[in-house]
Amino acid sequence: MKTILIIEDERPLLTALSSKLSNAGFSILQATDGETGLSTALEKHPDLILLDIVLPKMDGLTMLDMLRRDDWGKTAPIIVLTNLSDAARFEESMRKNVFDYLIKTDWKIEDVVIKVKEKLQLHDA
Amino acid sequence: MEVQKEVPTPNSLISAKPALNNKRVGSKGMKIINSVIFSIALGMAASFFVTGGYIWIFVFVACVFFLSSEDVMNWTLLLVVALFISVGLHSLGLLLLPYSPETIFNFFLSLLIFIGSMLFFQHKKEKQEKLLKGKVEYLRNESVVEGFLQKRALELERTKIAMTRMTKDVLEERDRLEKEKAKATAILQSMGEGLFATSLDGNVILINSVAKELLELKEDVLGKLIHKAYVLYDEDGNVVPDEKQPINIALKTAGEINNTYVFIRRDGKKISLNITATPIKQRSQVIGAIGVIRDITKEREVDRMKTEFISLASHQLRTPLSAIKWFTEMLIAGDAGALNQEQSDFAKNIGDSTERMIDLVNSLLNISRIESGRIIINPEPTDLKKLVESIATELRVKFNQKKQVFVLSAHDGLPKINIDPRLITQVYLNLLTNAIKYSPEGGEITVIISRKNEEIISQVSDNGYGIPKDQQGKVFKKFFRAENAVKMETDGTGLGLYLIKAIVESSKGKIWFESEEGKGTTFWFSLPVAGVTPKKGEVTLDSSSS
Repeated sequence: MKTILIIEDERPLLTALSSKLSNAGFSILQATDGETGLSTALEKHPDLILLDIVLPKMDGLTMLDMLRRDDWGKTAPIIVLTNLSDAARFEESMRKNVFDYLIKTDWKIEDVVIKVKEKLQLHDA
Repeated sequence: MEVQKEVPTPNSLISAKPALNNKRVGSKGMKIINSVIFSIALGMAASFFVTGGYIWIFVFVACVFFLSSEDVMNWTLLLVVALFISVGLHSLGLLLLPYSPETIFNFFLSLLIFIGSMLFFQHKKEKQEKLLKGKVEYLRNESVVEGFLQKRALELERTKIAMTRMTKDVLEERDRLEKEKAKATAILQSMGEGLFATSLDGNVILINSVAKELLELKEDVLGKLIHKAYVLYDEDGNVVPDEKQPINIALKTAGEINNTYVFIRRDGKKISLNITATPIKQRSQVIGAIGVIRDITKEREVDRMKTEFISLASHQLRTPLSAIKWFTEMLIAGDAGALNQEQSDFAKNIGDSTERMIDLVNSLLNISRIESGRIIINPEPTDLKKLVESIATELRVKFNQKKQVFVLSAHDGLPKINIDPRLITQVYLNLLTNAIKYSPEGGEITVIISRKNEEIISQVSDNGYGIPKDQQGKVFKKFFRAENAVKMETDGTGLGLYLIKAIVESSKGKIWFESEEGKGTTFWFSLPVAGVTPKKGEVTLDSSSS
């Protein structure tokens, strides 16, 4: 069973994503701030990380920087899931080699699940 | 004018002429002498009557030499009368007396003397007249000279007045210029922007206090090379080399240049300076350059704050909206167990409203981005026909819902044009969504793409409700929605057309429309075949259909 780490500080969104993804058959790890997210990721090596950008303690892009310094973290698959739609952050994320950059309000939760599945299958292949 | 008083008047000049009038022909003494001679002559005439002697000759000789020419005429008349009387009486005597040779000789001699004297007087008179004429001529000439002198004097006087006036004008002008200069200097010194001017070789010829302050110039830089006086950095933090200094670019290329540079103050604070350098031209020859320096540090700060605010607002508004959106979707999808029909309908309504809310947030964000001019334009060669086809595919469901027919026609051989497909998609998407919304079921929606000279024209027509004539002027206004549209479709933000007009214009195109209520609406927008140049910005547009 594939494990997905969801780093999201908004409880309702975290609940929605966790519930939808576990219903889709994934094992879920949760973190509500950047620091916890980073340590959980480094400790549990999830198959995919759904990462928010605006987070307490450590923001998503800083967390991403730290993660990329780790041997495992260098290539860890990440999908940025945020509501920040400015170009600078998008470009920065893409530079840091994330799989995708999704705007929450533009994506149906169903489609997020499809994207996750797509990524994991690609990763497997 | 008071200066005129100093000038001698023409009259005083006239009075300076010699007193010619005093020189009269014949003095008082001469008159007495003449009178005596006349008396003697008269006496002689009388004695001739008595004696008939030759004394006449002497009388005439005396007359010739002593009588003044002027009086001779008058007196001679008297003498002639006397002579006639004497001759007459003598002749009468001849009739009575017997002829003697002496008498005849005396008669002819008298007659001869008479004729001779008449001729002489005649000659004398002519001579006198000639002399008079000469005098008149002289006087006339004199008055010509006098007139000439007078004229010259007047001319000189006028010249003097003119010179005086001119001097006064020059003084006034100098005064005025000094005031103007003082004013200009005051303006230059107190303007909010820094300003400096250089000669062709880049030496400072003028600099105001703001420029000195901004560039922290303490010593006098007049006459020195401007770019040696300070160090500028580009926005990436590299020192700007001499040849890339704005003033040098302006001097070299003879064109205006505007750029933003970073200047590091002595206290270590970095400030953003916008410098506009413009060449000074005289008869198309560059003779120097002017630099205007503006401190845009605060503007940059405000800009950054606005970006932050938009970013924050978007995040803050979108976060709860995504939660509502996702939970509603999960409800409808049955993640929390199957819903009955009514529950499902309610959830769908929540979902629709949420989408509208998201759309509105996206539109507001897009507008603030477009208005701030920070939008990214990322052109790539685009086939407009294919672009519209893909948009139509996305809209297929909506067309089908209203049983509307969609027709796309593109002229053959249309070139790919260099535009930002994401931006232009918004334009087509908005126009088509409007066409669908504001046309009844079974309507026809047409897109025609054609080329006209150097422009590609896209036409989007519907046979829908149309826009009332009296409201057509406001169609592109922010938040405007036509009355009939509001009645028929409550959904809509009134931002769509405002936004796409801004997009089309940012892509160097134009947008316009024709509409008749009850018959339909046609929108056209043009894009240059040459395409648009890329623009580095900070933001892209979010998808929105309103």
